[in-house]
Amino acid sequence: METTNKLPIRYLLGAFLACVLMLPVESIAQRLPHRGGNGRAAPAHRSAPARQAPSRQAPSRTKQATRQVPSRQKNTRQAPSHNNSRPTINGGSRKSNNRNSTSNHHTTPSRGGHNKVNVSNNKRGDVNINIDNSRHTVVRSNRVAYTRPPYRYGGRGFYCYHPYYYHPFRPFYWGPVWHPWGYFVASLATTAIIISIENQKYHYDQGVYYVESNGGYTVVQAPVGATIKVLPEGSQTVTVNETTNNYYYGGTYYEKSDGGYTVVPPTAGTVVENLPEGAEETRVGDQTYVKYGETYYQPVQVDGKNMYEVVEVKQE
Amino acid sequence: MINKYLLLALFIPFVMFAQNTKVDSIAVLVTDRMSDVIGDLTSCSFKMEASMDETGQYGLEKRFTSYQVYLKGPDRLLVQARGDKSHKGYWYNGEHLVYYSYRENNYSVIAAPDSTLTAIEKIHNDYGIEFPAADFFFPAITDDILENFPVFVYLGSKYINGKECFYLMADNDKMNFQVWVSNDAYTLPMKFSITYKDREGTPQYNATFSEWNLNPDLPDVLFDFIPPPDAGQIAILPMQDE
Repeated sequence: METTNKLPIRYLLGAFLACVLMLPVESIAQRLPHRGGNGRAAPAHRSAPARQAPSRQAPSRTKQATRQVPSRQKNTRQAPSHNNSRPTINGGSRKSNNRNSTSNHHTTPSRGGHNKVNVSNNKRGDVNINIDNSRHTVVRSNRVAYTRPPYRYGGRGFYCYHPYYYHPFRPFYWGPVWHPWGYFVASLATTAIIISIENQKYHYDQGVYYVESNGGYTVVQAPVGATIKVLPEGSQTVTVNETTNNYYYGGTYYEKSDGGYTVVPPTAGTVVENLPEGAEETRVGDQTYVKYGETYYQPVQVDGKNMYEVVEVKQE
Repeated sequence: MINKYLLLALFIPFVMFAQNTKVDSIAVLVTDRMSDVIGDLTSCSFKMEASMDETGQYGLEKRFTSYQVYLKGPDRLLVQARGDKSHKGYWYNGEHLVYYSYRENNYSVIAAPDSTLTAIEKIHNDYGIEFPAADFFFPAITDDILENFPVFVYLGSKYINGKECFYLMADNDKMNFQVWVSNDAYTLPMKFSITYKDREGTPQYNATFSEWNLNPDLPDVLFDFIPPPDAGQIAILPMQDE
């Protein structure tokens, strides 16, 4: 008697269980339970180059069952206008028949752009027109803390003490004896002296450094560590911080040393009025910097005067 | 004993709910419809007002930008952007993209792929240049949302600038994406909002569309850049490798 009494209860529970198990699918139309259920390869649909849109013609689009839109007959939308002769702005919308596959979708980090979905970690460089980005900016840090956030671009922070203030770059010339990098002369003045730095012989004359090449002499970047006894005429004193000054001439920085004045790398935050020929304006995101060698300069304004500040570029 | 198994079985569907995954069919349907309409356009233009939270000296600061966008065929794009920090334009003609700064009167030329969407993606990757509302012009936007957001729901009918809209939301651990799509024949995006949950201060990007013009007759010359007098061409620095 007990057994016969329990059977109807089991049947009822079984029926109830079946109802409950079906309930979520019907009530909130979750799409994830469909993942993997359809063996069709989504990439074949997603990669369609033209708007043939096979996916849109697919009456078997599985989501219709749960989306309860029986009237959505994609095959009725095979309008003649969907051919290749009518160039649409994006080739037509695409939908995968099987939205289960993850292999052909763009990745989540691609939405890093604040209004963009499809961003991947492509390698840079193949559309770069004239920038050698492989070199790193060589700038000495300043011990004074920055009071403003950096300008960020490409995973780097461009730190400055003064705000960005654009003014067009005009190269400056330090007189007839000064020459930009790459300038070739057949002979040097008798006042030229020889300076050896790390087994490289340089010829120095009035603020310009040369190396021998092709039977003559070519102007090169001032070698860090080179020491001269007298600063070139026209040198300016520039402030590095409260306790340190540098001397600036032709894009080169000098520091007072025991033997005279030694070439040093630019120090972040140093402000100069002029930059030489050879520097070039470079767009960095939405700002324009002036790049001279490996150093970035930010256009700034100090006391109403257009100047350039040495930028410290940090990887972030 | 049988009753225990039954109780365990009864909990199975609710455990699946606990994964916090929910996709509304209405949200999918509306996005599909919107994507269909945009994908069927041969040209269009629209305006967009956007605001973005950016880290400032004392906290997040609002930056506003107004865009005017023109698209034609698969390989023409013109964007005019005027904002707090810049006034610039992008001209794309199927071969090059020119970035021109009105304030600085200089421009950079970037070789670009031969389709607008590919160009947008590549230039964004290489140079970080953002194109307004690019999301909505990628043909598989619905798939992308479904792929990246476990939650994609319809939150009812709302009004944006007096127009009745479908209010949709997509959400994942890192981002919350909300969009208002017009409830009319065209089902075009009227507004969207992105909240970056994984960034300090959870900054937001908000944008409102206006003046949608569908299939206008736009002359090709509109998409060719002609340097203004005294404009200088300058180099452009690519973004670094990750």
